[in-house]
Amino acid sequence: MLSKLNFMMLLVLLLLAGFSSYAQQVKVSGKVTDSLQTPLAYANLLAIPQADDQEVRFAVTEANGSYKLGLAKNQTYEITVSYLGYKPQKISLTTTDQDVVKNFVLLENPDQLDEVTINYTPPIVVKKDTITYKVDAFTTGEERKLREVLKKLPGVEVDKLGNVTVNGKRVTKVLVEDKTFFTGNSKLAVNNIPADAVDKVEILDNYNEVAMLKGLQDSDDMAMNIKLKEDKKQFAFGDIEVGAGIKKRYLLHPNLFYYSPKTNVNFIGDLNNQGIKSFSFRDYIEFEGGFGKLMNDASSYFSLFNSDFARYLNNQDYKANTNQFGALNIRQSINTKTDITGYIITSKSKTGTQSDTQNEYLNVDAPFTEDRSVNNQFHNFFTIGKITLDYDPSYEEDFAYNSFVKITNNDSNGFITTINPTQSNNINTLTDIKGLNLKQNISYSRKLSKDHTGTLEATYNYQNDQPITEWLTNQQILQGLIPLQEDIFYDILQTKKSSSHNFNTIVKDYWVLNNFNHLYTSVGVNAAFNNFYNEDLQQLSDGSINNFNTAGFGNDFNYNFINTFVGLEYKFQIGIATFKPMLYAHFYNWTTKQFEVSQSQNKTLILPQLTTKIEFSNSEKINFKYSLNARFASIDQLASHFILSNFNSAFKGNSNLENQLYHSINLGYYKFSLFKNLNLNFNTSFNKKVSSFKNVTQLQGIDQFNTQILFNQPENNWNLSGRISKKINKIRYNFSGRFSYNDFYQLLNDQTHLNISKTVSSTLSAETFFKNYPNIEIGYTKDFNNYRSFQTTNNFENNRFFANLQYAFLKDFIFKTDYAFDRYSNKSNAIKNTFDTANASLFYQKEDSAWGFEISATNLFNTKYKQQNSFNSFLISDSKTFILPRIVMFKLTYKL
Amino acid sequence: MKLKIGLLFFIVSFTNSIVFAQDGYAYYQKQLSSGDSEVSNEYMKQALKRLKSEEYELSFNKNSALFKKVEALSVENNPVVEAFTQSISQFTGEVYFDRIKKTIIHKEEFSGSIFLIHKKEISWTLTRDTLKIGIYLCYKATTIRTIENSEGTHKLKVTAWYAPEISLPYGPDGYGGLPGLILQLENNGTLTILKRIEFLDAETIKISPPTKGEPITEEEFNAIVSKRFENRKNNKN
Repeated sequence: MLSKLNFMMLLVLLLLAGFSSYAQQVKVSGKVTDSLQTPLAYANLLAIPQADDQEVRFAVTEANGSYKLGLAKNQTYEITVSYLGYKPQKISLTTTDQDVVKNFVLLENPDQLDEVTINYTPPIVVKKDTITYKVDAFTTGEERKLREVLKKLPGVEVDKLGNVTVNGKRVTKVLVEDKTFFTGNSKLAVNNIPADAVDKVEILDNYNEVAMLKGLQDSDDMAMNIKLKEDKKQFAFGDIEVGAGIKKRYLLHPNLFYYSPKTNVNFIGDLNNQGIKSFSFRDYIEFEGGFGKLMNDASSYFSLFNSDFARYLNNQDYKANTNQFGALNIRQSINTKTDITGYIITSKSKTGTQSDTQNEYLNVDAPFTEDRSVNNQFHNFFTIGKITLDYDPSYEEDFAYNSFVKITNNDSNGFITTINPTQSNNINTLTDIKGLNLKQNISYSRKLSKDHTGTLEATYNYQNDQPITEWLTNQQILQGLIPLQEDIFYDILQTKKSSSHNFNTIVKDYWVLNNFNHLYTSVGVNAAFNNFYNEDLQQLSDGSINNFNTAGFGNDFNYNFINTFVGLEYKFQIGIATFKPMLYAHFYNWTTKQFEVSQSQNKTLILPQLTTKIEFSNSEKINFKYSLNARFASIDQLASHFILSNFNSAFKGNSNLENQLYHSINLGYYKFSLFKNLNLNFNTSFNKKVSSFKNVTQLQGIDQFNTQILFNQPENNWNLSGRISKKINKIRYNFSGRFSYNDFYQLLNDQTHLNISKTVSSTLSAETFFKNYPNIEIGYTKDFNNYRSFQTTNNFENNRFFANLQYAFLKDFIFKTDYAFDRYSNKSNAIKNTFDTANASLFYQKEDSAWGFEISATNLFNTKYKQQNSFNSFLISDSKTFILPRIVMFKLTYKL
Repeated sequence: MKLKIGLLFFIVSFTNSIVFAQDGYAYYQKQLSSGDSEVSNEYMKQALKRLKSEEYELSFNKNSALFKKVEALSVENNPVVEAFTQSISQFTGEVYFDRIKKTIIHKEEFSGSIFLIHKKEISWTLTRDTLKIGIYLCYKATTIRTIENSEGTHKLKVTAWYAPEISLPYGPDGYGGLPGLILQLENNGTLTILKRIEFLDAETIKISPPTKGEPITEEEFNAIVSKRFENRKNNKN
């Protein structure tokens, strides 16, 4: 009885189980045969569901070729039938609640290979500090330059300027086949290296040129190493682009590369009149760093001279531009231990800019409006050259010598028209800046014993700049500040000379106590001998000269600065966390001398630092850094006599400035998962200035007088940014957000104002990765800004919509277009601006052909100018900056 | 003339394909999943170097397959390197697959005796993730391997990438039963990757089931292993 009951229950249970599992399922059955109706045993049927939540199912045929495949109801599956030696067959099947009978006939595959060698390496390999991407796994073959390749790699981003970031961190050095590519600047690499030459991309975090120092020396450098395909080695490769367009537009852009184990040659040329800058002035200024990594560790940055070139950097928008650029990079290995690398880069450009600005001056006794129009014509020329000798006799010894030279010659011719209640004036400004910079650097590292490694670094830097500026105007300027004599025409001439000799030496010992404890000791000296001279005068029409030194103008200033320091760093590891507290003691000694009056000062500062790294796994890390930093004044901030800085402003330095002091804290987190296609990073930084150099401004009409003081009220700056991207099927979704908070003081007309600015910016975008369909990227950015100054509060926002489309069609055509729309509104002032741009191009290249053809149009809407808004506590500016007109080009490319 | 040759070629290949066999050899190599440049231990480095020169062979025909290391004269005389090599490879002995009987037998030596371990059927979780390995499109399948040792029960995830196009339910290290040959296997930090595959055009490969050894189930074998380790531990104490 009992057993019967049990049996019944079991039966019911079985039925239920059977029912529940069968209720969800339908049966697909049939036969798989070849074309002669011979049944195929052991053929595979793989059913991939379209819906994410459904399971993948499979079946194998029996000896008689029959199969049964259980699938879920009302689902769409892609069923692939395969059998070795036959062509696989793929069908799409949507199930109903009815069983289906489906037979397959497979065709023989005459192309079946007898032997297949798999040269397979996983597409992404992540090691401690290295990520290696196998490029083929991500590209579609439509890519033309490295830039487009990088954009397809998960976690890698490339911006319009050519900066590359990987997991939120910027790439600071680009190598090709383990050797620095030109200056290491990413822009030259991403825009010039042909996409089809790239085999692998390696991202090396904590990059160190000296192999034995890796693990000892922490570095903020992130390097990107481009590995070339085997068939590109020993052969010259590259491409040449030639273009012409209406209204005398032209372009010539050859690239040539050669890589062999002993010799590398890279050549990049660029001639155009469309504003395409292969390597801009800004790139070259950024390059000024690069030597003396150890100096940075000592956390006492000392800016030598506030370069006069800055005025050339702000011109991102221009209405005319002609560029001539040539760069050559050669590496030759003498033997296995010795390498010589050199490059020379020459650039010559002509730029025309125009802007019309309406300035509203607030917070002065009588608010007024100024209309100003500025036209500039710039000629920039620079040549930089570098030779490096690398001698690595063994893994335990490394020697490098660098010699660097740069010559610059820039001139500009500017017309300024200003109309304001106190004066209406035209000013013509002519400047000519010649500069020379020489650098010699040696670095030597050696393993001293099993536990000790020593490094010596020494640099000598010579810089000489001679800017000449001339202001021509028909009315008096800066009345009351400069003692102008009445004339029919005013001609003001400024001659500046600045030179500096700078020596740096540092010796460091790395002591490995045991696997988890390291102790590093360093001793060093920075010595700088600077000279600054300026003479401002009026050249009268009768030939006589009116020197402004009667009114306190003109410097002949010497500044000698010696910093001796000792540092101690202790690095230790506990579990997954590495800590490195550091302590640097600096002994500063400086002398300033204005004409014959000199004064000396001493100061001692103890500067602590702490870095912490927590590695949960190779793909999940936290970095933390705290440091107390000191920055000393540059010579032009110290020179205590007047100097003209513009037609409406004069500056006077302050020889009593000592140093700025600020705390900075940085915390970063990143995580990525390849199989989940997820990338995530957060970064926050906080800076607190304890003492800072501040401009003290006296404003009278549009005229300004500035001087600097050491200011002791704290100022804070806080930044928070994050980014998350996830790829679901063929679409990648990105969200990035940024928040920043700044409070700072402005010293204006004897009043101290606290300004607070807050910015929130977020971008949401989606990007498709189809193989056969057009790919689009669309996104939306919204920025909110709140700026609070003494009496006013400004709220403004910017909305930006952008879309990019890329479509490869008819096999050999690639169509690309991009569009961006900006709407700016300042709610407090009821200002609204909109601005939109669009570009398009059509490229044709027959498969396997070296020739490519392209028609492109930039600035399709022929927009004349960009309208922009800026403000500070006493000024609101609304400016129109003129941009390049519509350019239609026809281009021809030839691939070597 | 050209046409004739083409025609001839067509006929030859056509006739060929009619008798197309499912026989061939697949060769695999092993490496660390994380790559090898991070390794600082000298023995480990030597072991990885050795792994690079070692190959594993899967010979297969329509009904069965045999997986084993390609025998080569061992040049290694350092027992520590030997031990490291073996622990990275995570595999010893040979595996016999029988497609008809649906059995997988792992012949393995353990503390002096030879066992014929009848492996349980692996329950795979099939996913839609794909990976292109060489010319083959592979799908991902995962399974959980449970290991019991003195420190408790460990669950390890094993990931296999199989190619449906090669309709053979075999793979390296005794993993199989998928609708396609496993080209890549990731198991506890070791990556086993297909390097080369040869297809023969005649049914020439003969594979016979392993003999000589004590037939045993997987559970029984695991019990023997853990018992032996238990003993060793006790002896030590």
